[in-house]
Amino acid sequence: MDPSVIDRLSPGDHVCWTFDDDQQRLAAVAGYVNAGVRTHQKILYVGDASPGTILTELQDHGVDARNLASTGQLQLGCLEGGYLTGGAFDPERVLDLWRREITVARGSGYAGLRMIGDMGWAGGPVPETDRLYWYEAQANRVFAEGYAMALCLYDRRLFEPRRLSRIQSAHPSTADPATDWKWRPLLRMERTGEPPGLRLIGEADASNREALAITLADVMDDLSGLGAPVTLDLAELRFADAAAARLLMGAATTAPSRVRITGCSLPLVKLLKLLGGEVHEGAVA
Amino acid sequence: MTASTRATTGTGEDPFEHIGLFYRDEDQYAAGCAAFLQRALACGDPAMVAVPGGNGELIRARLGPEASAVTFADMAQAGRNPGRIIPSVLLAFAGSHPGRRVWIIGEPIWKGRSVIEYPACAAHEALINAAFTGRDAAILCPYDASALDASALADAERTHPILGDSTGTWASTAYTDPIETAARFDWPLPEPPPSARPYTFMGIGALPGVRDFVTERATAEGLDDDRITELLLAVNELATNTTEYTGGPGTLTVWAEDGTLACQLDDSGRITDPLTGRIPPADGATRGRGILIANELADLVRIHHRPAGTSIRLHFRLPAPAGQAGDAQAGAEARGSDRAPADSTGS
Repeated sequence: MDPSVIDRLSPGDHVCWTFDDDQQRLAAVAGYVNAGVRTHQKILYVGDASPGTILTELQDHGVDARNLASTGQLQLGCLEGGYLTGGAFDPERVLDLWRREITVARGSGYAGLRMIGDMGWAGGPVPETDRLYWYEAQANRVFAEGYAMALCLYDRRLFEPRRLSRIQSAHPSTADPATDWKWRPLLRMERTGEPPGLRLIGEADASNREALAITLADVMDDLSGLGAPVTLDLAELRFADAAAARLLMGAATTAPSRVRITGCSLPLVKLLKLLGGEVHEGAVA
Repeated sequence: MTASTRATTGTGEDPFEHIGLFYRDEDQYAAGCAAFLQRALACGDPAMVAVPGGNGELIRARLGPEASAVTFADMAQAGRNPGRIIPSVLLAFAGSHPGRRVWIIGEPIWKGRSVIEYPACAAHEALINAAFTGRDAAILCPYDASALDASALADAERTHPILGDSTGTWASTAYTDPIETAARFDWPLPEPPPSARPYTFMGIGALPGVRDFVTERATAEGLDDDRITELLLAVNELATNTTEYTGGPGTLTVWAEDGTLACQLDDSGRITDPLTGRIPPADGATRGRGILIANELADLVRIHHRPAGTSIRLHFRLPAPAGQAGDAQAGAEARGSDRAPADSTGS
């Protein structure tokens, strides 16, 4: 993996980082933490290793970890109290925890919250894939606000490929050790305030389909009471596959008076037509 | 054949007619086509003519003022890829006239069809029978008996339950099960050139890399940007199918051949429904559109079922090299639909 890849991540990103050994994991995490230090972000690491182990590992990989921990910029969380409560995985509680951590980081004046979730604990049969996948999909709501970002660490030795594939699709972006310097987050989804809506940047395909689906649904839910139309800004969506186009069309057709699509590229217009939709004057019918 | 609309009520009761018309000259062509359309117009039924290049003009001239009641399309454009004729020409016209008997003249095979196109054309003719079983429709397919190979005419006898010429119509004795007939045209694909380096991918995370590879190769071979984006849509859908349905790797090979960009995807998947890619799935269905989209966008789609999997080859026409005029057919198309000169193609 090219180290410069890490520097392309910024608040709003939610990346499924898959790896095959601990050296790969640590190289990515160390680069990611140091990038956060440079940009005055708070760093939150939650995993199943003990805080002492993590500190030593980071220290050994070029991170001034003990010093960062003493100032509070680096915070290490345990599995219990992080992902687990009384040994059980309660995704809604975990998402609430992230929201609280965002509030705390903002209150402390950090430029962002940079999270690292070491998901090794989830490699066994518990939790069920459905719950894990629901959690990862819902987490996009937290990151679309644009303040927090997350690197989710998935050890390929611990996850069955089909299970991992499904979990990946709940993330807007996926990377692995073979990722080269050209890599960039495949899709960024940014909530916009004026006009209210969602901006899609990058590419939407099977590898982030569920992340797009849930984020679109959330935006529609959250903004349904506004009285103003929801704007889906697609000007920077470089690629959309048929399933993504159907998701966009679905959002637009279930609430045609409440959705405005802007910046629809010609290929996307063509794809929507192939799928039986029409785009005109900023709307899909 | 699971859809109820395709349920047959037994021979003799099926309202669908599929007729192969052998003509030897323009007069026989115009007379045979006009007679078919006049049956439609006499019933007040919707009628469509989808024939290549200038052939439409022959029919229009013969019909006279009545032609205004007929929809015309250039088959060399609308049906350039024979795989999209059923969904985008025939079913699209039938679908726009729900509850009505539709009459369509479709000419998918003409003298200019290449060796690589032909098996897809013949398979299409066979599969019309399966796609339209039980539908209230009549489809007449003209064949130029003076120009086409004897083998193509023999194939037409296998793919059309009814045959006709200037003397009358008769039941084809060579007509058999359309699915089996279509499978006869599942010919192995010619090997890609050794210089075309294959690209192997696996898993949904590999799809962005697939698109990068295809973009790079298509750009290098000179495909224009609009067509590259369409090629990407098509290849991405097929590669997505590979990653989601086979659990194994897929291999892409891209090269230039006879003025087209060829892009072949090999995987271990099996296509079980022979009408895949020809019948649009129900509105709510999230799957089953990959080959349909490829059929719509590509200039040709060839599918070959191997013992250990499937090969799908897409052809996208490359722009003619600068300074060279296109071939006669491309010229006819550029002049626009059926108003091209009568002698440009097909007749």
